[in-house]
Formats: sequence, structure tokens, C-alpha cells
Amino acid sequence: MKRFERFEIIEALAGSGKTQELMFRFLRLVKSGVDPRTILATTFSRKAAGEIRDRILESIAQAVLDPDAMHQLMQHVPELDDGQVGCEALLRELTSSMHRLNIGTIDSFFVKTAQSFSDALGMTPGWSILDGVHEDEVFSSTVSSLTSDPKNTEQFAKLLRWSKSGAKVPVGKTLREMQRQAYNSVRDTEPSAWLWGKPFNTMNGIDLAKAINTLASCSPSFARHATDLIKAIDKLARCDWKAFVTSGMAKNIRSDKHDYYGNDIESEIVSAMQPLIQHAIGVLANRLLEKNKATHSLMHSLNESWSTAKHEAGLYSFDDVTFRLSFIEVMKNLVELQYRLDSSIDHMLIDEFQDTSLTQWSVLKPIVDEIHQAESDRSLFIVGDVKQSLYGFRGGEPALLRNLPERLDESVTRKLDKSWRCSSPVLHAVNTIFEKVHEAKLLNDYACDAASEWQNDFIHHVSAKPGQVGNAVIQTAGVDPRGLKTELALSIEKVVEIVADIHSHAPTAEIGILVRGNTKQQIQRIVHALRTNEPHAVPASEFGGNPLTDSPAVTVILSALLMADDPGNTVARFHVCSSELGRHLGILWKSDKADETFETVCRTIRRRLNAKGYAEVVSDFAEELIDSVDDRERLRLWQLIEFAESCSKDIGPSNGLRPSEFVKLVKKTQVPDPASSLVQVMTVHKSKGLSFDAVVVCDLNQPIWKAPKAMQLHDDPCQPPTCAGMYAGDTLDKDIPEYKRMREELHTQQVNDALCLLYVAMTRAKHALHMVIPARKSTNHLKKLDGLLLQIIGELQAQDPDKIVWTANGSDPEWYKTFAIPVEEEKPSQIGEVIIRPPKEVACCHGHGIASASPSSLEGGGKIAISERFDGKTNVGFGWGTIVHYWFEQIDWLEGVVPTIESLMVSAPAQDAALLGEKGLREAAVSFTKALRSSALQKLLAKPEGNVSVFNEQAFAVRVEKGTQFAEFTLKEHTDVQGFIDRLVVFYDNEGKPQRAEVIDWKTDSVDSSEIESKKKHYAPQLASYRFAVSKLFGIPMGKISTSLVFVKKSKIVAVA
Amino acid sequence: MNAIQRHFLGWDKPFLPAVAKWLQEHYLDGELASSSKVLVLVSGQEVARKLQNILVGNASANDNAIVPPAIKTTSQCLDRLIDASLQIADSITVQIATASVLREMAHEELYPIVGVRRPHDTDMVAWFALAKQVCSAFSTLSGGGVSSDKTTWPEHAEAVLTDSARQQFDTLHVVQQNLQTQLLKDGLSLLEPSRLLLLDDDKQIDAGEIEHVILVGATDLSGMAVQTVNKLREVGVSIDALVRAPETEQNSFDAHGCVKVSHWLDATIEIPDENIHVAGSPSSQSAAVIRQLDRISDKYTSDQIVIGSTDEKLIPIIQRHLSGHSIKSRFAGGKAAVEMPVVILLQALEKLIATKSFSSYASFIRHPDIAKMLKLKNNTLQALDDYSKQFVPEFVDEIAWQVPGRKIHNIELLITLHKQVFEMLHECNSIQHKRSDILSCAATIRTFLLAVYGGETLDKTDQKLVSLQKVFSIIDTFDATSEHVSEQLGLVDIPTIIHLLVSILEKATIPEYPNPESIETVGWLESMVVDAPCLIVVGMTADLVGGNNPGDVFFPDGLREALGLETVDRRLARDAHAVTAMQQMRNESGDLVWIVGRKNTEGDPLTPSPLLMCCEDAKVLAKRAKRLVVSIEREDPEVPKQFIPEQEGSGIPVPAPSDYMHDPVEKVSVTAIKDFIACPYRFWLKHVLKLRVKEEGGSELDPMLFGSLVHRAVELFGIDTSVRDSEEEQVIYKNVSSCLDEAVQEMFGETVSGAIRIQVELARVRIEEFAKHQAKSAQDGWRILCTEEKHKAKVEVNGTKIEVSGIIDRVDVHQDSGKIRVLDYKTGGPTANGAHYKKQDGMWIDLQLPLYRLLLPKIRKLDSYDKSDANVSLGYFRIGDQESKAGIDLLELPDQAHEGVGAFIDAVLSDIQRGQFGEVPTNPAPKYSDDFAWICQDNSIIDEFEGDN
Ligand code: SF4
Repeated sequence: MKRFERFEIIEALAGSGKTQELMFRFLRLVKSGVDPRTILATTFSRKAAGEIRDRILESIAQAVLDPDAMHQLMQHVPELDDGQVGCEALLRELTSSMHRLNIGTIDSFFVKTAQSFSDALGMTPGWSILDGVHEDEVFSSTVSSLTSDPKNTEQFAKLLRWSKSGAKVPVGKTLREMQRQAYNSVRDTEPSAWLWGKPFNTMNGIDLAKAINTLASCSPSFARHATDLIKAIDKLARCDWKAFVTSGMAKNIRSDKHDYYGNDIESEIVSAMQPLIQHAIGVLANRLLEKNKATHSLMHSLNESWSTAKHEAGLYSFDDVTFRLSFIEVMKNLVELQYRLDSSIDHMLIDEFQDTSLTQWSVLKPIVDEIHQAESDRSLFIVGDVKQSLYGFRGGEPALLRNLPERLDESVTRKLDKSWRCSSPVLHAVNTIFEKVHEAKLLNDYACDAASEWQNDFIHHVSAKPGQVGNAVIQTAGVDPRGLKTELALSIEKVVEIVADIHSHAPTAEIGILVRGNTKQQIQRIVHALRTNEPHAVPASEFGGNPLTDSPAVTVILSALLMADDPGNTVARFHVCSSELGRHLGILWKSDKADETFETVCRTIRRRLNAKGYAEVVSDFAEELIDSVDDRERLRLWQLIEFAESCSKDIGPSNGLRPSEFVKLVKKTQVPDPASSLVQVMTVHKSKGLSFDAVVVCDLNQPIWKAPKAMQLHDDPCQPPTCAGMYAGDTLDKDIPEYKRMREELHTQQVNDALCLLYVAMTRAKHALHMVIPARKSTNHLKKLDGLLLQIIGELQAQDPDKIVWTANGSDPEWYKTFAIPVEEEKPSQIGEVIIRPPKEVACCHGHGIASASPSSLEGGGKIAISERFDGKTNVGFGWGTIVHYWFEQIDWLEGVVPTIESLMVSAPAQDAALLGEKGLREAAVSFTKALRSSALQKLLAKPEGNVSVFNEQAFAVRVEKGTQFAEFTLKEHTDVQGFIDRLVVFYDNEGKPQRAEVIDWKTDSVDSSEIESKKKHYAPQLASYRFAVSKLFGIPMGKISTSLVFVKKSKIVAVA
Repeated sequence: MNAIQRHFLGWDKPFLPAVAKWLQEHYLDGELASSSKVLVLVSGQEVARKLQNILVGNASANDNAIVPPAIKTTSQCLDRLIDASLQIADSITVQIATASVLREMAHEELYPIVGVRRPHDTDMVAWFALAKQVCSAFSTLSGGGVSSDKTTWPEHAEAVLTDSARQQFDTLHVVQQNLQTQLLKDGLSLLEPSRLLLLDDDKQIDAGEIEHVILVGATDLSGMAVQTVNKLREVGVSIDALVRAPETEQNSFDAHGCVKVSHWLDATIEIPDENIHVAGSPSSQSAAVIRQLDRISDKYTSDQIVIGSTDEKLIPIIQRHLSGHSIKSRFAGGKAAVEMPVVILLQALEKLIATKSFSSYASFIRHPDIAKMLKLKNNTLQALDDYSKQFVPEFVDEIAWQVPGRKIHNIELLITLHKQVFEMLHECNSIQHKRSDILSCAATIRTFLLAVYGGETLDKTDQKLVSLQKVFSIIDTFDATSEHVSEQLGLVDIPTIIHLLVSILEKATIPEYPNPESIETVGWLESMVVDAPCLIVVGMTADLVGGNNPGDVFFPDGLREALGLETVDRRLARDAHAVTAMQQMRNESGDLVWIVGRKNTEGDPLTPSPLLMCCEDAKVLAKRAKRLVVSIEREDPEVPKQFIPEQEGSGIPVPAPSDYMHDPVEKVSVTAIKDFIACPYRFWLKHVLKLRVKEEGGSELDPMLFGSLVHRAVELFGIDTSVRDSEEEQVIYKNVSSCLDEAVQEMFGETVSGAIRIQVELARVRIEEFAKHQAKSAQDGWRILCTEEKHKAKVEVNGTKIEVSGIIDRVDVHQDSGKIRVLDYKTGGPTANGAHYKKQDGMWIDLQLPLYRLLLPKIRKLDSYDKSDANVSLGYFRIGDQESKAGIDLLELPDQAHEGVGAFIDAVLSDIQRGQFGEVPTNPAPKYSDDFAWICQDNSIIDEFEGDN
């Protein structure tokens, strides 16, 4: 049997079955005796993790059931050499430890770890993960606290003015944008990385004026030069330094080209210009340095107030969690780690390693190193593909994967070069493009280096299923002879044409339409165009679903909510009034505002939202619209109800939400629309981990290079940047070396990103791949992905419209003919009417539907006046009551001896005594003894003749049927009444059979004589329930049971009938 | 010491009725006094209630009442034995006192439990949160019968600890000691040490009246309960353990009747395959429930069916489906207290006082209970929106609404409202965000609540009353905070105290009134003891037993194991027994269905519970495993019956203008024309129906308002004849800049938010640009003749007149040539040419500037000027954010454009006048229409050409 490699790195190209590899490795480990708990497997998404968990179990279960499957599995898991027995044992081991498996995303592992280390990390107890909804809230409060500091005002204004977005109006949004671009870079680096560079020398005002004068006094001999000079002086006068140095003669002089429009620039001009050029560069450079400084300081303040705000709210992003873990370095103490996580991490299986960020790596590194250095049998299994590193923008660093073999000596690298997913034509397209990518002329030299490097990582792709039919083409979109349609519109038309064609031939095929980014709402446009395509409408949706607002019926309901919240929102009001819902609510469109019905409707909706929550209200509204909508809309309405029901789980009780906030949530949340889940539109990023029968890639006509906001420079890609700063065009390349290197690095990275993106997009296709590029009259698209494609296939010329430019070998345009239509799964039948019968009689023993009540809850007809009950003064009264009851409980018969005040005070239960305080307690005791001395009580408590028993604080419980009356109180449901009778005296006949009984209830209220009658009425239901209970307990007829109230403070006994 | 008597009551019948029978036969013999000698210990509150119901029900069948025995949960068993002379502090008091004790401690002392970050001294919210965590650690320890002093622990337990854990427990112990000292000042004792005192080896326990203890189905007694039972045995109390299993299983239980963990972890649980169903999303799981109900509806009545869910998040979704099929249901767990209107109100108050933000004010007054008090009307809300939209207030304070210079519709309503609100808040002294002691904060909250709810009289079964009771009882406890604690706690504020109150309520629920016609839905713990014949369990995922308790930094499973606390394995063993018993009980008669969910509410994949994979036979197990991990990628959500009408409808129609009566349009403003050209339908919505979205503004100016501000600043400059002719850039800049400040004052009052202040600075940048170009214009000989000329002109179309009106921002004349230049200020958007005319297809898209020509004759100051086409130029004065977007930008179009403009104007005006608004909106939508997206059903996809601007 072959032992597995302890340190193995798998380079897995797209679709080469890495999930399987992970699974096999997992099974091998467990089969060779490793405790599953000590295996940490991380992957890219929760969905992928779930899939691995499922497949592990499934494969071993299949092996138990089917000998063929077992033999196949044994090839990959040689440890299963004990065959059937071994499989069964492995299955048992796995099924019994499903709840212990550590298979999840890297984020979830970090969260779990951070939870166990919350104390050491200084995290707020009970913290949770910051979601989108709260993030906006916390961020805007951060912005408001940042901006409200007057010190910041000017700096902000300056920065906003400098930043590329110019003096755009929304401050919060701009800050948010800056935060996306520069925040992490500032947080993760030393200040020195941002504060590099020495200021440049510039002229003072007088010298500058002189220099400009000198230039102005030049008189060029050539007309062109003269015009340019005037322009240059104008630019200088306007302080437009950038324009000055990047155009005209100044530009040429700067790049040591001393001629302009064919004539040499006269030396007088050259020497007049030179100081000015230097000045201009100086100003621009200083501005850049200043901007870096300002950005740094702003992001620094933002970091402080933002992390404080998050900390106070007890909410942290995944990023924060990772950052904290890397910062506090809890991972370095492995003993501690093992203690807190309840198991050691002996084996690591890491998937999608190319997307690991430096921060994540710094958390993982100690464990990896430790495993690497361990003597024992601990292992690492790392899977990745640098070609699929799409997460550079989130800090993913593919260099970590590249350098891994070096870091882990003794490690073995295995390449999986067979694709189980893509058909041969698709792979031919992939191979064709990426094996020649370095030949394409990219933007410039260092970009070409990036391409070559990329190509070095590329290995020839082979299909594991050569027989799989497929089709791979590059084709052009149409043109609009009138020139009115944009490139985007035309390429959408093409996409629709292709998709409609495939969909009509292979209606069960999954089709993915991939775009680079959702610029110009192109995803929504494509979805819309497909849905409304005539005559072949294609049910399509955005991947992950669209927000529910894509349903007109849903929006009517949302309008009703908005209208209730903001009665002045006439758009919403009109929207509701013009719909079925408006008719149902009884509101008609009237522009005059004072409308009583409208007023009531709004108020009622607000009240119901508050009391019942959104789901209830939305559900009612939806019912009114059901008859007017089609099947899809009905589903959307139902999804809205479910959304309303579940959203409160994430955001706290939804009924505290303003409708406008609720609507925002709906707008933000994608809800999959199952009717259209076969055809989906998405960005390439989102397509990661997915595959489709056919893929249409459009949106290739975008520049590879895009001006960023911020840049970084890494001396070592696996270390934090040594230099970082804002982007300011290419003007300063020549003058600031650091700046130039940053630009180069960025350029390389962007080329790399673009190629990865293209690679991922292409390799999503199982059968067919269509790459749509615009038809162009010229060849000015070199710097775009479509230009790149054309260069590689050697078609770099103007492209006719509606043409297939290139076809992969072995393509079959009618691939779908053999496309096996999967059998429709049997759909569960529609549920008919379900009627659940009510019980015939209330079950006597299930206790289901039985209410409970205490006798005292019956008093006052079961009603309570809020102001009386909760004014805070009744507590002392309660204490008094309990103590007096306690004292009475100690007395069976009063044989004339009244206890002393002191003895009473000592005997009182501590809890209640504390409530009264020393003074109150004494008062209670005094009042109690006074009552005992009264003739009324003396008589009441004197032992009568005959066979009699007294029961103090007698507990009872009795079932009372629905509809039973206790005085004026009627029970609404079957109720178990249970409580205590203060004092019960039972009189027996000579045979010991109970004859009659007296019920006494002690009352400690202060009462006036005038109030006695009303008090009698108040307490009557309570006493009636005692009578009922006593009659059931002792079998005494009700008529033989007397009930009395004793007002202790008044020493008054009142019989209640 | 007498032995514990174990009694195996079997598991093929409902357990609790069997228990009741056993109790009645053995201890509750009808003697009144016998009950008081018996203490029945059960696993949970719900079981206690059920058992009592059964006892009462049985008696009732014989027309009797009972004297109920004490039925307590095992975790409460000790508490009734605690010396009555000890005054035990309640949990809220303890939490408050703990916070005060923690805060007193230095960072070094606290380091092991707070790490790098000690809460700030005044951050009481954080201290309370920390206190909660610490208190829960104490109670975990005492639940295991373990002290916080680790030196008293068994050796192997101490050995488990790491250095940092050791320090943690040292700190916890110090905290507990300090806490006890603190509480003793008020004569209070701490529950946990008092419990442990009872269990002290050298001490005898005083059992009081109790002679018999009966353990009912207590399969996982806590360490504390075991010790208590043993202590009671020492003093001669008899112990019976009633086990839910047949005699044959006696080796699977220990002497106390608890499950033997190792046995149950390996136990086989036979569940018939047909009882297990797999469903995907929560919605599908709910539909599967309905299917099951459909299947069994003939067999059972509503009271005989219970739906259990292992994930409580599923319950509302299941209930929603049930109600969609008109099936009544009730969640035994009740409604969360924090969802009750009174709690929502308190949180609104918290937010208002803490932030004083305008938006918190707006939501506070909208709370129905407040709105009712204030007699809030729609027009007040509208006025509030108007106000917010115009003034962008970030905060409210007592002098709000005092903005000079601008007129607000219905401002008097707002002033009244404001007075009312502040009077109310003043009355209960709550608006000053002042720190005071906890007692006065509590008093203030009480006053506030009484002001809102004091007038009401409520039924005792009313959920509202129950929620108020819960809230007030917490306030009562706050009220009872002793001086010592309050002093040490220091100053707090109302938001903090409300926060604390709400966090105490977090887990509280308000029970729903029982109804026999409802199907009960319950959580997992209750499912285990349900005795209804039909039980449907939903969920059953591996998360049920879970791994580590998340966030439990003090008790990893290894330590739990060593201390004898509840562990994952123990939970799993307990559940294994429960699943077996649940299944056994319904094997003969009854139905038990397991619906295994594959996805949670977030759509994430779930792993099935190991409990369903305990089959004896390997093949059966393999088949089961395969079935349970079946992949459910795509699923059709099912809509309940009630939401499926007989036939499909035709959809929501887009309202047609022809369905609405309106008079012919008599007036139109020049700026509205472009809306008509872009889309007549949306023009109808915007300018005929005059529909507006009035949302509260944010904390900064939107582009419109920003534009108005800049506009107003340059307008003020244009009015000031003393400087407006200046040719000096600096002079102009200075003047406009001060005009800007004046405009800010005038428009937004004295106090503006920080964001607006920044925006004002950004406006100043634009003004710099303006000054440059204005100076140039003056140097070129242009003089401002007049500004803000508001005029109308009548145009004859279709035989009637339509009035065209507009405000001309500014008219310049050239001092030498007498030429006229009509300028419109623009702070954004395209050039005059681009805005008016689409070159590609030669169409006018706006007529604003050409229409100004109609108004020129109305300007008196121009009377003496030549207003012929040749002498008048039209254009924008752009005040953009970049150099390229600033300056004077004249309308210069090809001749053919000018030729057609007159006819085009007539055509447009004629269409408007005749009400030709089309019946459907233009598609794709022009950009201005986003507000109308829902009415127009355009999915917010706007015309690509306009998308970029
Ligand atoms: S429970 Fe599942 S298998 Fe049974 S009828 Fe319903 S959907 Fe079909």
C-alpha cells in the first residue's frame, strides 16, 4: 500500500476534480486511524464545504452498497485494503461523527477560533458577524462622527477635491469609496509605507511670476510654436500644471525631444520652460505626497472610529476577525489552541489556496509551520490554481501558492491536468488562447512579462471525457446601420440570440452568461432582454436571484408600506390607489390631501406593522392581489412573505423597522426565482465554483488596464507592501521611482487578473462556449480583452458583424442534439386542501389547550389598570402582604396568646423583610398584633367545638371547564386553576366525613369602610374559585362552604357569598 | 444511605401519563398532607406544567381536585433547600453588581478575561455585557456542582487547564469573591456559593418536609443535581428514578437513571426508512410538513398532532405555511418579548435619547402608541418630511424648526408637535442625555411608560399586559438597587439602562393563549417529551448537538468533560435515548415523521444528524446515508393553497392616463418640457399628477439641494450691484464665497451637519471656478443686466392658449455691442448642446433655452435692446466640479436644428395641451424617472445613453 505524501500540493486546473481529491485524502486519513476531529479542511464557500461533506459520506456509502464502486474507491484510497469490512467500518465512523467534522470555509474556522478566544482578542462578549445591513448603519454613524469634528472639515474637503472623484457631492459615498480602496492598505501597513518621499523644490510666487514672464517674452519663429506658447502661458496662469507638462512643447522638452511639429524648439524657449517644468512637476509630486499623507491620516482616523464603533456594537466583519487573529497571534500557542478548540489540528486540507490573503496566511502560517516541522505523522494537503486567482481585489495573493513548494521542503507537487468538466472544443479554445498569450502584444513590456509568467504556469489541458460533444467559438455582435445603438446594446442582442437558440433546442441545459463587472446595469439588461425576447422569451435571472422588486405585485405592496410611513409620498400613494390593493383598502386617487379614509388606512397599517410585524401585513395584502397575478408573480409574493418572516431573524424584531428600511432590505436582497434558474447571468467572480452546459461570455470589450485609486509596492509578494499610495496618472513615472514601480506592479497585477478572469470564464463551460466581441471597423482595441483574443488567433483586423471569427477544433454547432435531456424529476403533487379536525372533547390528559390561572388572576374581573399596578409603590404592599400571610400561616388556633412584635420581626422571611425595611417590618408587626387582639379575629381564630381541622396555605389545583362562572367572571377556555387557600377550616361529622368548610382570605389592602362593597365585588371571583376547589377536594357541596375576606388593617371580616 | 430505586416505565406508551399514574399509585394517595412530602424533579419547565396538567386532568375525570406535589426542574432542586434566612440576590441585581465590581478592577487584574481591550470606564453597556458573560460562567460552574475556586476541583480537571485558562478562573474567582463582599453589604447572598455550601461534604442538608424525591425521566442530571440527590439520601430521603425505558434496558442507565453515555453513543436506533423524508430549503421543509399533515389528517385531531423543530428559526416559516393552508397553529415557546410594541417603543426612546438624530425622532413619533398620544395626523408627517428634505437636519434639539428665511408648509404643525414631544420627554426628564444613578434612570423610564400606557386597563390574559409586566418587573428590580451598588456602579444614562433592560428580556417570551384547535409547534427539547400520538420533527441536522458552545470562552468541551458539565457527547447520548423513546412510543400506534432539512434559512448547506444514522445493518446504513445527503440543487418552492386562485390573473396593469380625469393642461414650465420629450407618460406622473417621493433626507445634501445652494450663492452675487461688474477674480471669489455662507445660513440655519460643512467647502471649490470665468466674462465686456427673472408667456396651440413659464437665471448684455446673453446656471450634467440636441438622430431632447426666447420680451430691462435672434445667444454658465465642466457654454447647434425648433415646440406644446400622454411608459426609461420605476414596471433599467451622467 502506498503511503500518502505528508506534504502534498495539488495544482488543479479547472474542472479537474479537486473536490474528489480532497475527499479521497480525507477518507485516507480517517481510514488510517486519524481522528476526524483533528482534520481541518477549508474551502472557498459554504456550499462547497457542504458538498465535500456530502460527497465523503456518499462515496463511502456507495462503496458499501456496490462492489464496483468499492473497487474504484480503493484505487484512490488504498488504505481501504480490507474491502467491504473496511468500508463499513469507515462509514460507521463517519456517520457517527458528522457533527464533529471540521469542514468549512476558512472564514468560519476563523470565526470559531475567534469565538473561543474572544477574551484574549478583546472582543465584545456575545459579538457577531457584521452583515451588510448593519455595516451601512455602523459606517454612516462613523462618517457622521468623523465629519462632525470641525478639525476634519477642511482636510476632508481638500481630499475629496483631490481624489479622482473630484468634488462629487455625496460625502458619505465618496468616503465609502475611499475606504474600499485604501482602508485595508493603510490598516495593514506601517505608516512609513504611506509616508514615503521627500518634498520637491518649487519656486516661490515671485520667482514663478518672473519665470512665466521670461517665457512670455520669448518670441518663437514658428507659428505652431507661438500658438503653443500662448496656450502654455494660459495653462500656467491657471495653475493647470498637469496640462502644462503633458502637452505641447513642454511635453516634448520634458522627454528630451527638442523639436515640435518638425521644427527644433529654440533654446531660449527650452531654457525658459525648463524651470517651469520642474516647478510644475514639483507641485504635482508634492500634491501626490500630500495626498498620500492626507489619505493616510484620514483612513487612520476612519480606522479608529470605525473599529471603535464596530467594537461597541459587538459586530465585526470577517476581515476584522482575521485581522485580530493575525494581530494577537493566538495561533502561535498551540497548546492553547488545542485546549480552546477541543482538538488539535494535525492535518490540514486547504482548497483554493490561491485566494488566501496575506492576513489570512499570517493566521494560518504558525499552524502550517508547526505541522511541517512536527516529527509525527501530521500532514498538509493544499489545492490551488494560480490561474484561478480572482480575489486579488480582496487581498488574495497567488504568490503564496507559487512559493509554497519552497516553503515546504519535502513537499510533493502533483498536477491534475485532466478536465472532467469541459468538452474538447472548449479545452481547445482554452489551450489555444493561453498557450500563446505571451505572443499577444499587451500594453507594454512589463505587462508582457506578466503574460509570460502566466503562461509558464499554464499546462496543456486534456479532456478526461474526449467523447463529450461541444462547441467553442468567438463571434462578433451585430451593428446598427443608423449608429444609434451602443456597443453594449448590440452585444446584448447577440447574447440573446445565442441563448434563445440554445434554450429552444436544449430547454433543460444550464446556461451561464458571464460578464466582467456589472457596469451599466448590464446584468439586469441582459435578464430583461432575455425575458422579453420575442418570440422566444427565455426565463432568465441574475445569479443568486433578483431582488423581489422585479415583481410588480411585490412593488404594489411595498408602496403601500411606504405610503403608510410617509403619507406625503404621492408616488407610492398613487401606485397603491391605481391597483387592486387600493380598491381593497378603499382608497381612491385624490390629489387633495385631507382625506379621512386615507388617514385611517395609513394609521392602521402603521399600527398593524408594529403589533403584528411585516409578514402578517404583507400576507394580508398579498391575498388581495393573488387573483390578479400570474404564477410567477404569485411565487414572488409568497417569497416576499417568507422574506418578511425570516428577515427579523437577522436584524432583530422587524416590527421596529421603518417601512422605508424594510423596503431597502427587500431591494438589497436577492431572492432566487426558481422559474428561471436554468439561465443565469452573473459576473465571472460569482461564477467561481460553478459550471454550465453552455457559457456565453460577453463584456470582453473592456480595457485590461483601469486607473485605480490606490496602489502598492511589494518587495516580496508574500510580505506586506513596502510602499503604498494614491494613483495620479503616469505624469510622475519619470520623477518618482517608487511611483513608477507601484504602477508597474499594478499593471502586472491587472494583466494577471484579466487573464485569470478570462480563464475562469472560459472553463465554466461543459459543452459550449460562446465569446461575444463587438464588430469593429478599426483595430484600436488592442488594450482590451477582445483585442487580445483577436491577436492570439491572428485575426487582428477589422471584424465584420454577426460573424463567427474563430471556431475550436472538433466543434459541433449542433452539440445540443446529443445533449441528454435529464429526466424530469418527479415533482411532488400539489397539496390540496388540508383540514385538521379540532378535538371532539378537550383531551383530559394531554393538557393540550389547557390554560393555567391563579385564583388571584381572577380578581377584578381579570382586568388590571396599568397606572395603579405599575406605579412602583405596590411592591412594598406585596412585601407587607407576604409577611402577614406568613405570620398567619404559623397560627392554627389563637389561644389568646398574641406573639410579641420582636418575635414576629425575627421570624419574618428575609427576602420580604428586606423589601419592607426595618421600619416597615415593625409597622407590619404592630398592625398584625393589633388585628390579632381585635375581638373579630380573636373569635375567628378561636378553636371551635367538634371535629375540625385547619389548613393554612393549602395548595390545590383543579380543572375548570370553559364557560364556568366565578362570580362575574367567565372562563374563556378550559383552565387549570391552582393556588393556595390562606386558611381553610374543615368541619367533619363523627365518622370523619367532611360536612362544611370555611375559607378565609387575608387582605392587607388599606380600605375605607366605603370601599368594602367594591372590594367584595373585586375579590368575589377569587373566593368563588376557592369554594369550587374545596368542594372538589373534600366533596363538600358548594352551599356548605363559606368564604370570607379579612381586612387585617381594619380587623374587619366580610363574608362573601 | 438508601439506594436509589429505579423504575422502568417502558417507552412504548406516553411517558408522562405513565409517570402520573405511578405517582398517584405510590405517593399521591389522596391524603392532603402526602403531597407536601414529595418533591418531583423533572427535566424542564414545560414537562412540569404538563405533568401537573395530567395530574389535575386525571383527578378531574373523577370529579376531584388535587393537592399538587412540588414539581421542580432539576436545576431548581437545590434552591428550595437553601436556608430561608439567607436573602439570595436575584439575577438582575447580581448582573448589575457584577458590572460594578468588574469596573472597579484594574486592567491587569481583568486581563485574563478581557484581553487587550478593557472596556472604557464609562462604557456601561460593555460592562453589563461582560457581567452577563461572567455571571453565566458562575452559573455554569454551579450547575456542575463546582466552585469557581479551582483549587477545589478534582485534580484531573485542574490539569486540563492551560496557563491562560488557569488565569481566567483565578480572575473569575476573585470577581466572585468581590461580588459576594459587595452584596453582603446589603445583606444579600450569591446563589452559586450558597448552593455549594449546601453540598459541602461536612454538612448535613436540611430536607424540611421532604421525604421522597422522584426523578422523572432525568436522563442527564447535572453534577449539582446528582450531588443534591446524594445529599438527600444521606438524610434519609427516599429517591425514586422513573426511567423512560423498559426493564430490559437497565444496563443502559446508571444508578441515578441517567443515560450511560458510552452505551448510547454506540446504540442502534431503528427508524423505519419511510419515516424519514428529505427536503431542501425551510420552505420545502414546511411544504413537506403540510404533505404529512395531509396524509394523516383523517387519523388525528388537532390536539393529537405536534410539530417539533430542531431549529427555532424554522418555526415562523412553518407557521406561515400552515396559516397559508388555513391551519391554526400555536408556538408553545410564545412570542419573543423583544417584539412587543412596548419594547420596540423603549428601543425607539433609547435611540432618540442616545443619538438625538432626526431619523430617530421621526421613527419615535411614528410608534403607534406615541402617535396615538400625540394625535399625530398625516399632514404633520408630511410637513416633517418636507422639513427634512429641505433642511437636512442631522439632529433634533429643543430649538429645532427655528430656521430663518425659508417658508415651510405647515411649519406650525411641526412646532406644536415638537413642543408636545419635548414636553413629554421633559416630564419624564428623559431627554437630557445626562448621566445619573441607576435608580433615577429606572424611575424616569417608569414615568415615561406610565405617561404612555398609564391610562389603560387591560385584560390579564392580554399579551400587552404580560409584556408590560415583564418590563415593569425589571424596572422594579432596578429600583431596588442598593445604594452601595448604585454608588459603585457610578453614573449611567437612560439609553444604557434601556439597553440593559432589553438585553435582560432577550430570551423572555410572551406565551400565546392556548387553543385546543391549534396544532402545537415546539422546539427540540419539548419534542422529546411530547406525548401526542403524531409528531412531525423538522430539521434534524448535525448542528443540533453542535460542537463547541460558540462564544463560550471559559468552557471548552474538554474542560466540561473533566468538570462533569454537559458535553457534546452527553447531549448526543441524551438525544439518542430520546429519539429511541420517541420512536418506540409510536411504533405500535401513532406517527413519527422526521423531515431532514438540507438548507438553512440563509440557503447554506446542512449536514444531517448522526442520530438518524444509527442503523444496525451496514447496507441499511449506507442507503440511509446516501438518501440523507442527496443533493437538492434546484427546487420549486410551493405556495400554500390559500395563495393559489382558480385561474391565473393577467398581472398588475400599468395605470392608464385615460382612466384618470384631468382638465387640459393650461400651464407648463420650461424645465418640464424635456421630461415630456423623454417620456410623455412619466411627464404625466410627474407634472400632471404631480407625484413626489418624499423621503427623509440623509445627513448631507443631495445633488438637487447642493445645486440650489450653489445657485443661490451666485444669485446673491448677481443681485449685489456693487461687485457684480468687477473684473477681479479675487474680488468676485471673495464676494461669492461670502454669498455662499449667507446662502447656507438662509437655507439651513445656524447648525449644519459635518457632512454639509464639507459639502459647503466643496461648493467653494466650484465658486473658485466660477470666479475665474466670471472675471473673464466681465473682462470681455459682459455685464449682468438682471437675474432671477420670473416670467410667463402664452402660446397659442390647438386654438387655445397654453402658458409657458420659467425663471431666467441671468441675462448679460455686452457693454459695447449691446448683444444679449441668456444664461442658466448648471452645477452638473452635460453641455448645453448635449443637453438639448441628440446629434446621432437629429432630435431635440430639451427646449429649455429656446423657450427662454419666448420670455425675453417680458423682461422690462431689456426693452431697449435688440432681441432679434442674431443679437441673442443662449447658454449655460456651468459651475461644475472640474475645470472642464466650468465656464460659459453657449448653445451652438447646426442650422438644421434651429430650423425645425419652432415647429417642434408647437408640436410638443400641442401634445401637452391635448393631454397626449401615451398609455404606456417609454422603454427603456429615461434617467429622471427612477422614482416611477415601480409604477412603470421598468425594473429600474434606465436608458443606457443616460446611465453615465
Ligand atoms: S413527505 Fe416527502 S416523500 Fe412523503 S409525500 Fe411528502 S414529499 Fe413525498
